[in-house]
Amino acid sequence: MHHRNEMKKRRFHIFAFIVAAVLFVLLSVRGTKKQEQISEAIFLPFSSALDPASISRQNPSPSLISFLGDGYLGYIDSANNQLYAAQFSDRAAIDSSGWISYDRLATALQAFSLGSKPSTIAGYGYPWFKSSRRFLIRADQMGIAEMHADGSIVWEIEFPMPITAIDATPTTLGIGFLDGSIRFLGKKAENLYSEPHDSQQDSQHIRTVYGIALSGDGRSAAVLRGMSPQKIESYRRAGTGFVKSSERELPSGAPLQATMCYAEDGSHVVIAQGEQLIYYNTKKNYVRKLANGAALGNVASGAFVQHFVLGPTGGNTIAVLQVQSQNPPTTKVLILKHGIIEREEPGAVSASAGKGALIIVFRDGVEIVKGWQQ
Amino acid sequence: MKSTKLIAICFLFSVAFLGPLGAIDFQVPAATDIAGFGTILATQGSSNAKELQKTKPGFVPRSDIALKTEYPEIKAPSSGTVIYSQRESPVASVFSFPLGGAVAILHPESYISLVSGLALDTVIFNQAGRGQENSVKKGTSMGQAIGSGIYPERYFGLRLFDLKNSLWINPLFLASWLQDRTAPVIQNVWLNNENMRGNTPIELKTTAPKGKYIECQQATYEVSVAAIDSIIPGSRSFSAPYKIVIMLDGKTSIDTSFIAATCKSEGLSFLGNPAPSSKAILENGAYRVGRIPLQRGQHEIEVQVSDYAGNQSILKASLMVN
Repeated sequence: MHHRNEMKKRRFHIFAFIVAAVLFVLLSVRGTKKQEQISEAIFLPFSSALDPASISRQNPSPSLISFLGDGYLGYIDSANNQLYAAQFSDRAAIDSSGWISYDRLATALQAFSLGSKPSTIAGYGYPWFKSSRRFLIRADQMGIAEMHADGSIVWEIEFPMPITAIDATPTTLGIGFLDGSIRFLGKKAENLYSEPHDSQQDSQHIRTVYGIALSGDGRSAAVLRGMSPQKIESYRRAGTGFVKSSERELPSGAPLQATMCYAEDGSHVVIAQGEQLIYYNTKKNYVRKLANGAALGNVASGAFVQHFVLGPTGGNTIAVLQVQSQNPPTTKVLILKHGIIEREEPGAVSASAGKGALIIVFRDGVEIVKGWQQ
Repeated sequence: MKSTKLIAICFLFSVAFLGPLGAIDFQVPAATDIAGFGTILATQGSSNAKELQKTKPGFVPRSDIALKTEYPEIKAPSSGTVIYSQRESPVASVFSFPLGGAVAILHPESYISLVSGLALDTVIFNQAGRGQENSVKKGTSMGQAIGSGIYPERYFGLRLFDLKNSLWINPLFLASWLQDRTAPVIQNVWLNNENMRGNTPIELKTTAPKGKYIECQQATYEVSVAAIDSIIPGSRSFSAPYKIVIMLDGKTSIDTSFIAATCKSEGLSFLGNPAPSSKAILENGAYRVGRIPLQRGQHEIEVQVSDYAGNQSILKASLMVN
């Protein structure tokens, strides 16, 4: 009797295992189906683009995604497969309500608002747009101002040290400095948190900030700081300020300004610093080197490679620009999913995502990857 | 004669004010044009300075010097360790910072130098980028001043930070090659009654005919001086002067200079003014140099403006205080 019960139990276990296995397979299939949601990719050349001035300010399409390329900028209407593009000669910054083009010497800042006439902005610095906010980084990198869309100044703040790293969300501005100090400012430039340089410390150990990244909700920050060792330090929002939550040493550090960003889901940060590309898992607090020169993607031997983090492209993906300094330099956009290459776009110069579409910007046009859900 | 004066000033400056700076082996490259420390930042390479007077960004005294050199190759001014470098992005889709290609070096004497506006030498950049040896020797090529960031072609920026005293130091005191033969030009001097804001300030230059008194009320006046100096003879840039002294009835009332800028949490303090640095400048570009109390009676005021070589311009006026 006892033996029969045991057999029944065993059969039940086997049955349960089979059911679990079937469910696992089904769920896995569902997981990969996410990838299959990419329904189509359409290439729109700049030669057939419409003038962005034709976008109505009163009725902007909800499916517009802004992009900044290398000589072209504009908007993609992903619902109607329409490209609006304008050329710029030197530099530019763009957001959903317009753009500012400027020259290297910062003597001619031209603001273009959708549906309005272009206007000149008086300011001596470089415009930098992030999270629907517009900033002007002062020409000496020792000050920053936030601007309205018409270029008027909302607030301005000066620092005693040159800015070496910056990131912003709709609610928070994070700034890192040459002497290793950091500041987190609120919407009106009010101080949320500051960590000044300790002048009492050994002055031969400056912990310069090379990069800073804020999570999309502004509740977490990652700071790349110091040499020998170089560390990634994590901060989290606590009340109205921030507190340091963890830190992790990097295997090797370089005194180079870095670009870095959080994935949209906040799971990790990717840091690009010269040739190096580093993955930092914010949940489990570990780092992994993704590239050092020729390690990531197909790179010509002997070529000098630079990586730049472009930004999050939804879910757990981040876009990275790889530039190989050959003659002429070649570019490639890598879409990394938890640091692993998900897409490789040779010849691309930029990428952005929104409204269920991934936008890959090339020198001659823009590719819309529809159904982009990560 | 002027060179001897300059050397003497440099020596006194080193000994009296900056102490250990005299020990730093720092080479400021010889220049054919200079926009000096304290010069209003926005005017260098900017065509919209007048508009900037309404909106503040960039209308501040500069804490670096912008130099134009005969040859574009820029060498490390002193030995040390590279603690930071930034480079312009090779494509416009990635934001580049305004200082362009820049290298910060930490020197053993606890100074940081920051050279900006360079196209960085790949050797320096590669070295740093691969996490190799980050030390540089004085004279190592850092890059080419071929136009990077906000600097025009052949110009680059140089700034020097004193870590122990939290000061941005005027690097021109380390330019031993400097030979300035022309005195600064005093464009105007204003006295602004602090208790009567909104009143037209008293202009000393245009309202001071010789032998006649300028009438004003008894009060404390803020003194502002508009003056320019051409550091390199025949160059196109005008700089801030070095030193401004106000003598009242033969006694020194104000003695201020662009020797350094002090770091405060609100930014930089120039000429003893509170931070941020925009507080050191009036909307018309004049420097706020200090305050003088004027009691009833007759007074003689003398404004002395000097450059780095000791060349001096003087403006005298007689005041009748009621």
